[in-house]
Amino acid sequence: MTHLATFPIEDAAPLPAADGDVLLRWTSFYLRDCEKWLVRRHPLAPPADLLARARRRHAQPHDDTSLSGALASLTRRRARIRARGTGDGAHSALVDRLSHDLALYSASLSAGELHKVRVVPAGSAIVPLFLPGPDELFLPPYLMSDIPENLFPADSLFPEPPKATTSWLLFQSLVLVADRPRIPTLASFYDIRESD
Amino acid sequence: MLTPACEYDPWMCRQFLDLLKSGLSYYKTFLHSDWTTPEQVDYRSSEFTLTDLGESEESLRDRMDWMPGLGFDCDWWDTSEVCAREPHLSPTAVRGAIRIRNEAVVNPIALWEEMGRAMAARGGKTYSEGLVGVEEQGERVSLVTGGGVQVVADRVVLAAGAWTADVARLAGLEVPLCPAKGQMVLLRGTPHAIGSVVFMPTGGCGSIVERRPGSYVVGTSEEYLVPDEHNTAGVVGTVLSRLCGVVPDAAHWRIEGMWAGFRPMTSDELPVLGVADDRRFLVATGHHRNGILLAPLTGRLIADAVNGDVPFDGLDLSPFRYGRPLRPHARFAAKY
Repeated sequence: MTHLATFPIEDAAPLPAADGDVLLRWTSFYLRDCEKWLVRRHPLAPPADLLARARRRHAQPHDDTSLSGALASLTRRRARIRARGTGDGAHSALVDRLSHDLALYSASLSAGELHKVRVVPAGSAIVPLFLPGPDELFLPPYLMSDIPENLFPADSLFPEPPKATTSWLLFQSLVLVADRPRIPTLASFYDIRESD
Repeated sequence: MLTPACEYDPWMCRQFLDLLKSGLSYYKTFLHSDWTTPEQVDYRSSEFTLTDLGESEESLRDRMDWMPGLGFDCDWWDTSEVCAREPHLSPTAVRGAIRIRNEAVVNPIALWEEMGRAMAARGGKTYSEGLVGVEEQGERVSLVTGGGVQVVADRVVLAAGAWTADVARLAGLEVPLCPAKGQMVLLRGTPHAIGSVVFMPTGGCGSIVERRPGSYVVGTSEEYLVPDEHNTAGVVGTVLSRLCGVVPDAAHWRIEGMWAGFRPMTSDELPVLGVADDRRFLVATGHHRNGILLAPLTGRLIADAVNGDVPFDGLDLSPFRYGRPLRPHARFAAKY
């Protein structure tokens, strides 16, 4: 766990298969929200097979009545998890970077009653997902292994993109809730302003 | 659109509210002088209808708790009043609206052309090959254009919009900006289908403006990861779909053109106005969605700074100072 002028970020082991399946169920049920999230953040794009799996799952007959129950069970299980670093270089680097970047927003996070976050690699997620309670941020591998220094692409019009932070991974994660017509981002859910 | 009421939010500093209001007020002074007329630039007073769209999760009605208190001349209209006063708007798309009075519109292209003519008439020169270098020449600054022309000056104002950061870097200055792309569509339809500027605040700051009878400009988006000037199916499709939901007759309007531009945005959404660390340079940028509203006033404020005068209207410009602490940008999700 990092500290000292940083935001507390815990480092956790990858999501076990059973928990990953709950994320896949949720993702396939709220596929429209996830696809819209991706479209609005072009050129971010998950690997084709990851997106295809979620779409295939959506196309199958599914029972959405028990999704709330599945989320509640997931929340209880995850609340019992003790953080353990993965030792993975890319994961550690991202955790350190996120911890530093989120420190810039400590006041906003505190006002939203978020005092620490646990980062969990989640192979079944296609977008960043946040689980309130355990306060876990599930990140898909494609967003963990290759976080660019800067999301803004450079081109001939703007050859030097503005400096950016990784804080958006948390603020713009979709919150794992059910029984709602639209899924909020974390910033919206906790009523946190992302900008200054 | 010249609308402090639609652009101010309570989380912003009061000095920004003062700046917006002063910008609107200054337009009358700016245009009633010897270089142009309001008619030449399609300037007119206008009411704004800030629609409470059904597609939004949150109602705008809460804004009536603070807007009148900040001096905005506005009323809440329920759906029946919207139908009575703006009969072409569909109540199926609109839950109500805030009607705002005593604001204005101007044609930015016409304004730009008139200002260019006025500047040329006063001996001003335009170099269109871009700026490629900034050099020292004693205590003065030498600007080198792409065409090899050298312009030497005592003071230089950096006001290059979304490209001010690149220009400032040539001078060894840091102006953290993010280019926020916006797409617009020009349509030809029935004249006077709307009696005001219709603001559609969902995601981006969407609006319908009748620039001239039957000529409508509709927008827009706020996109942060797309540094190219193309129009896209997603944005244009969403904007036009929303337009047709709010004004069903618009389904028959003819599309006459589309374009995209880039707004200079700082991470605190406030402009950068004033003298830089190197006092030979002044910065005037970061106006985000209020470039047109604030352009004339900004010119006046920069002139005041150059002349060592107190800022026009006694405005407190401290929140907009160059070099203030700004976090790196974190806004990536396109809004439209």
